[in-house]
Amino acid sequence: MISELGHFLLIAAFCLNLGLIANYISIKAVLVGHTSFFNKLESLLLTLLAISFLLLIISFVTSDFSVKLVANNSHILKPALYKVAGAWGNHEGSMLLWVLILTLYLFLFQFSSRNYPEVLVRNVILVQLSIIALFLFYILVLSNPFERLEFPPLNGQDLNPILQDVLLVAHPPVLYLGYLGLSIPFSIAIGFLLTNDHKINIVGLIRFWSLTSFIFLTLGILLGSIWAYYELGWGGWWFWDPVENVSLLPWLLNLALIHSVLILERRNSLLNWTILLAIMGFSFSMIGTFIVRSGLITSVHAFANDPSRGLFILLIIFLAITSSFVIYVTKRPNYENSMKLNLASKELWIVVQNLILLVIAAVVFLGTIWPFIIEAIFDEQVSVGEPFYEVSLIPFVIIFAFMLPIASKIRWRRKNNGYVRRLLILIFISSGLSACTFIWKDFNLLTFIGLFLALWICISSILEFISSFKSKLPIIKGLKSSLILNSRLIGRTCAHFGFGLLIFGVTAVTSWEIEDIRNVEVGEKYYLKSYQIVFKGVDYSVEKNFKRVSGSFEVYKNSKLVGTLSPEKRLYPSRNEVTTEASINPTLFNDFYMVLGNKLDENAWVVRTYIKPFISFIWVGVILIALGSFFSVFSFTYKDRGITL
Amino acid sequence: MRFYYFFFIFFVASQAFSIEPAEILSDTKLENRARNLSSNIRCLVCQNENIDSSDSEFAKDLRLFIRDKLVKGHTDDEIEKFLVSKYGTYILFKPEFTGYNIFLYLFGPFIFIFGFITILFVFLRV
Repeated sequence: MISELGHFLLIAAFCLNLGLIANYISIKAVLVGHTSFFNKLESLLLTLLAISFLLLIISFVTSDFSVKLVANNSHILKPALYKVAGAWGNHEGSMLLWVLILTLYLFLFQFSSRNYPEVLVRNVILVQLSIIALFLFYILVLSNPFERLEFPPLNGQDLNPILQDVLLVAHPPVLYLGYLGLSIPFSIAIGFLLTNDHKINIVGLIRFWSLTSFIFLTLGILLGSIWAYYELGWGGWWFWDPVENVSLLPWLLNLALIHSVLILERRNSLLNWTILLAIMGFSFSMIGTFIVRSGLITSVHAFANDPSRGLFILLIIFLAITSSFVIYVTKRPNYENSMKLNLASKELWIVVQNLILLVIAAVVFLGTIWPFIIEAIFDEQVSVGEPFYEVSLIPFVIIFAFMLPIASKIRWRRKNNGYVRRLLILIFISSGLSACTFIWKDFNLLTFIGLFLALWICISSILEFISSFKSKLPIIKGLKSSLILNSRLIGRTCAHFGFGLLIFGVTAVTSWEIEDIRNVEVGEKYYLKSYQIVFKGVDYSVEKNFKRVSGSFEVYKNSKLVGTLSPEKRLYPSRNEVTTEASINPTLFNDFYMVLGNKLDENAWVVRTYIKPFISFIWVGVILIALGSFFSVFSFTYKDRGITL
Repeated sequence: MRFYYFFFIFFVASQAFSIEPAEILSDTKLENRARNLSSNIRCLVCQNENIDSSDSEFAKDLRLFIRDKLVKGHTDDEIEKFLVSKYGTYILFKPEFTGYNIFLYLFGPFIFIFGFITILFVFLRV
């Protein structure tokens, strides 16, 4: 009954959706003053989808194995949290979540658009409703999550054990909030083009929604990365897996969008470029879903193995992307470029950095689809993996990172005399400091460059913060108002500083990681750098849905106990799969990372130990980037605040 | 319960698990070269994993093969060439800089230079 109701609500939502689209297309039907009525209908649409999704979760929690999706992805012994997460740990459920979040954004958009012309708002809602309709249609025709089984099994097939993890419960919804957050800038861009009135100022709207999306995208990618770090047992945090790559594409484009909006806001130029970025951002979100969902790529993320689905999704995306580009080409504003730039103008630096972000995205995209292209054209198989991306992206990342402090430092409308000398001094100091590191370590050019860039970005963003903060408002006027007025500066400093930390963490981990693989007997002691490690023994136990063997290790430094680690192996009988659970002792500067390998005989095991220096800087850096965007969201545009620069 | 333990231990023990201590060469220079090589070599029976991190027998055989060749004095290039001739270009994570792959490598630099010149023309009116 529950699942039939859920299915019925989906159909009802689709009908309502079509009705709303019809109304918005025949513009005259929406009279001024009736918008609130339509807003209520959109809230109804959201409610229908939310209840439908809730009913799916209920089917999972009550383990109703007569529903095909539950039978395939759940198990009676699975912990309750993962039963709930099972609702989106599969193709059909995640597509329903996808549509639900699209509608949620439509609902939220209405609040942010109160002060904007009705003609624009109506167009934006129309575009967003059309996207929702396409995906809802797909769900109803090819991917019904509420499908029943004629002969329900006694027990389900369980969720892939490596996905049974707290971080992965949150990872898909957060990432979807990021992907789909880009649907609003997309709809704004298309809606704006459709109005034919290019005087409307859409900067504030695009800025708000692209930053919101950027926060979730960053956090979503971070969650996946941390999960890979401790679950896959190799201590890596980025694998250049196709699925990781496609999540990076909208992130890069969104990053470019956020910064090009700055120029649009101050100079009222680059409108076309910003609109194009907004269109491309969501297009890449959809292409990402297509690659993940179509089964083109086999990975833990590939749920759909039905080729007709892949084809259908491809059609939807093709339709959405081509029509939006046709709209862009035919309706784009015809504006004369009024910028007069020279080498010292901020715009030029931001535009070039935009270009680099786009180049990186293009290389990642081409690398990801290259194997398919070559197979289709030449019928040959090639692989494109980590070593390729390292070689072809590192030069661009270096140029990008080097430009960042300069681009950030240059003032919009002032003379920049004297900056060159200060920048040169700063470059000199940072390179000198990073060179000092090699008193203790062997010299390596890439390590040196990485350290230099990290210092260069961190130091200059802090100096910039100090000088800019003072110049705006004295702190005496009240901390709160000072924070609000400086929220953009705080956001920028935070994000750029975080980026510096990220570079530092990546450099340190790749350069100075220590690895140790050995056979260890119970009771044996061994040394790793200045640490002494004692293998105390192994322990077997049986949990509700898995069995585990866990080793117990004590780590001493100068005969003082620093930590106890218990790396595990788990067997999930329902799928007959073994997973490794690394044990990590994280400190600010070092992660102690242990993995239990093979059992050699009654007493001896293979043990892998890693010391990962400064890996926490990667996580902290990324969190600061998200936090910086968060501060920036809550500032308004300069024009709104009435501040002239 | 005891039966389960037995089953579990048996199962866990039968899993090969990435690099093992017995495989590691005592000569650190050669071992580093082996690691460098392995990071570029795909485990053909896994999903997007190099042979260093893979648990499969295939990866283990290749790891031993590489070390054997290194000890015998073969160069990195020779080993990669041999693997490509045996398994095809699919085995390398970094495609060789030949034929259609040249396009893949030059794509990034090309759009960067093209874009940069466009920016100079549009904004600076050189």
